[in-house]
Amino acid sequence: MSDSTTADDAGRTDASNPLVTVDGLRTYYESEQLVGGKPVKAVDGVSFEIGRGETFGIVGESGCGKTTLGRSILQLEDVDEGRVSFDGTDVTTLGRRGLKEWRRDAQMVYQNPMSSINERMTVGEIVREPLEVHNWETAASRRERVQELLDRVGLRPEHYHRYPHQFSGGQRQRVGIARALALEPEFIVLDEPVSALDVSVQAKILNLLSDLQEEFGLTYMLIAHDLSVVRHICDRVGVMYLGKLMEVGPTERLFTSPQNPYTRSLLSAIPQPDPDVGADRITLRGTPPNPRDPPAGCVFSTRCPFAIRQPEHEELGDEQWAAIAQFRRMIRERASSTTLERAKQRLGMGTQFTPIREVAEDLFGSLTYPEAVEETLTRATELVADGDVTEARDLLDDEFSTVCEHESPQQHEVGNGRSSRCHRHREEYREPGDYLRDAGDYLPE
Amino acid sequence: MEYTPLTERVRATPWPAVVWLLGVCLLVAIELGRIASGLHNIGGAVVTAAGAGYGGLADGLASGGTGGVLTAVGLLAGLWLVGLGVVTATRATVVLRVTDRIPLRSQRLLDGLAFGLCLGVVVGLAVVTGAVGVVHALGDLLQSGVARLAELPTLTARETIPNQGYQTPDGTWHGTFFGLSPALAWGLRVLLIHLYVAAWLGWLWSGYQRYRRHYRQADWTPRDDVVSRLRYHRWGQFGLLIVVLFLTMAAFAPSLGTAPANQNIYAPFSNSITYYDASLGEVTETLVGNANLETRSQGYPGENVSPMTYDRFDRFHPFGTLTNGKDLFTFLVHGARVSLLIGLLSVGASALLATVFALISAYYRGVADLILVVTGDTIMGVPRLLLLILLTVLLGDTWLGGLYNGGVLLALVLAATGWPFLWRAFRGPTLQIAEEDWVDAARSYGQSATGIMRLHMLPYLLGYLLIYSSLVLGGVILAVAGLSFLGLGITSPTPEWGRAVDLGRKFVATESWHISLIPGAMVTLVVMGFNAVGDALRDAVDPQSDSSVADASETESRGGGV
Repeated sequence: MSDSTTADDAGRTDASNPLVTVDGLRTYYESEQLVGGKPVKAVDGVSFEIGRGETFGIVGESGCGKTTLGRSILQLEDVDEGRVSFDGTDVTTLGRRGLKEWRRDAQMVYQNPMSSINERMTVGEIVREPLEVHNWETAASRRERVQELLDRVGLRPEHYHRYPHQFSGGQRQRVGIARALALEPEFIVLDEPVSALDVSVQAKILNLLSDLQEEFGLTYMLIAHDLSVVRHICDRVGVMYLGKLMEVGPTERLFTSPQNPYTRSLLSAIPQPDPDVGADRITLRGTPPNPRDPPAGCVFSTRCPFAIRQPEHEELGDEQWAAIAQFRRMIRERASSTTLERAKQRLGMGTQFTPIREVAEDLFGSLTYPEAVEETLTRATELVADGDVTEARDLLDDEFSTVCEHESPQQHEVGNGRSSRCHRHREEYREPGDYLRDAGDYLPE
Repeated sequence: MEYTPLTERVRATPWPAVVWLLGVCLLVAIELGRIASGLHNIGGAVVTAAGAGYGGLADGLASGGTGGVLTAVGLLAGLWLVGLGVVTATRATVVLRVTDRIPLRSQRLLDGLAFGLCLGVVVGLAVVTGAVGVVHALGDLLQSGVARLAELPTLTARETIPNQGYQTPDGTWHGTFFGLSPALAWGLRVLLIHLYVAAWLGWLWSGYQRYRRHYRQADWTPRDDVVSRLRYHRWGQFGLLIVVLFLTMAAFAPSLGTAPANQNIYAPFSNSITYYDASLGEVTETLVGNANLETRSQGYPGENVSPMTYDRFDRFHPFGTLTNGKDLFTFLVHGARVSLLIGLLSVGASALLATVFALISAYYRGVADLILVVTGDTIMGVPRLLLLILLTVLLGDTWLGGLYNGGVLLALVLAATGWPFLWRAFRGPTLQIAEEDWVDAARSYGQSATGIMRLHMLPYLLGYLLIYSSLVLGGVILAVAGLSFLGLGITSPTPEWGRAVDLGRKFVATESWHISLIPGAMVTLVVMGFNAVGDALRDAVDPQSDSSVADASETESRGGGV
């Protein structure tokens, strides 16, 4: 874990020889419905590398698939597609035996220390179990190793015979860490290791983790939603949104000059001690879309304040644009409702949609639009009122949709070891940073 | 505080253990004869069952056709299961030494098959070559040794405190313990038996406390809380008392009864008693069967022997007599044995099935769960009484139906029809346990499926297992009594509580009210006792029911600060 003030975060990363290489990883959860359900795309085409001895962070809102990503890398989930290379071997193709052997090298520390250790076993038994599973030397040496591990994570020898009930959350997390270390792994996935702990304990656990990394030469993948934790201990960070990795880069540079619009929005959510700086925060509208039905183009396009607009709409105000986006979202929703849902509505069983004119009045009543836009909106409203929801959707798509909604953005290289998924990195568009400066200069650079 | 094996801890401070073990030896020595005779009986039953099973297998194989094929398949499956058990227990590997291409799970299954086949071949060879004779000889030797031990006198035996005798006109009793009246002698024996049981229970409790104080390395375990909650559960303690009395009744039936079962119930016309005949003016001998005919309880004052009275042959009847003149108390204590055996066998079997199936459905889910749900629901969908009657009638004539007068068959049928109810109760909690992070964590360091089920899921299921088993046990006792009442299940003359209720049905409103009422009240009481124990266990195991543990900081602080 390099100091966060170091100028070059990537210094310790041996890029030419990564320990873990993830390539196009996809993990879908099958729908619970028997017929016609869509799978949840928890992890959808993620690629990155983790260098030896590095701490790689994954951040994102809850539900973005970061835990699933960690579990997929450890083969705790059935991976649908893609490769995970560990030290040169593709672990997704390992057989049962090979997988069991490999598990010695890759371990996990869980988020909730209250549920991650079995309360019917003593601490000694808990830490000893991985050793027993892998037939570690002799019984005596196993016991010795457990004592050693307990000592190393800051527990006392007499804790060997205690039960988890007798420990606080921080101590339990230490037990979980000792268990993860038992088999001398090279790589540990830390799934929000401190988010369930008291703030006063968090720092101690984080320091312990960094000491252990130094002592045993561990490689960490830290999953977190607490950005300050990530900034504190990670060498590089990946930002995840709806199953996609939006931006990857060295921590300091990613925090000081975020490239991707989503990263910018996420970072601006960090409370600033200086009230003047916090004034121009980017507030994200709405909630993340349902991962069962992600947007067609860029996954962030439905909420993106930087979305590419057609040239004639560039001058529309933020509020006007947001109302149109909301209107289109609602019409899309209506257009995609299934026959069964529509039949239910006829019978008065399902949720009734608000009459479209009321919706339009609500959204656009207080706003003024250029004539051409006004006309399109009115026509769309009329179409929906006449029952032609699909036609209305197509009309609006013709008028407003851009590359953001058609095409999934590529991972663009954006300078020294960084990559970002956004169409604005393409030559024909303005970079997100430039765009913002032009649009009103409301993000501090 | 390093971990040390129990033997070393005992060696370090031997006295508490030595004293305790001496006490155990003393308690065993007092009753060595009874324990040996119990072992002798169990050994005999096992030999009989094995013989019957072997006979059934041989017949099935010899019959050829579908029956032969079915028997062969069953035999192979049985061998495979045994082999699988051996492989799992010993962690031995066969296939792995030949090839490592086969996935681990299939390896285990193949290893099981290999071990099972080897076992089958060895046993088969032994039977063919006559080597099995050696086993027989060894068994016989063992049996005779145990039989000799069984002849040792015991403290609570009928012979130590005899209660059968006769009274001469001068009022003195002959043949009883120190010339006491039969009622007093019998009462003394009953008291002694219960004191002996109480001594055992007290000594076991003292052993547990000695272990906690001197040998246990953990200063606290989750079980301690369960025990301490049970200590203040009065309703549960009442239930436990009833259950202990019932268990004592079953265990000590031969010496609790006023007369030996063989003499009074099974073969009354092959045994005789002596009594003082007033009309002849001398001590006479008569067959028990003939005596019984004159002591029947038929509902009117002239022909009735009430509870706590003597009959005209100077026999004491604490619960009166049955309609056929047999002693009701003797009948009931031996009936307790039958009820308990059927109850334990059927609940044990169905709890085992239900636990294994619940673990499988929760761990694997999907298709495995679906198959079990369909199977369980199908069994639950058929009216249980109908299924019970059907199966007992259908299988009654096979060798299985002959074991223990149909008791074993009844227990197995009850288990086969009863497991879905237990499984339903277990499935929910087990599904919840399977979702826990520690199960996932165990998977992440490569623990096997069976290992996860055994170490990380089963311990959480044990509480439910105890609770529901004790509740179901009461139900089984009731079901067996109910079936006997209907004239099904256990055949005469084997004593069964339900049959006593049935016999006395006509006389409920007469002098002979005791025949139905006492067994009926006892069934109710025992079922209530088991339910109370189940309730208490639930309250003790489920921390939510306990308010005093709300103070979590106290337990946490004992671990020391972070």
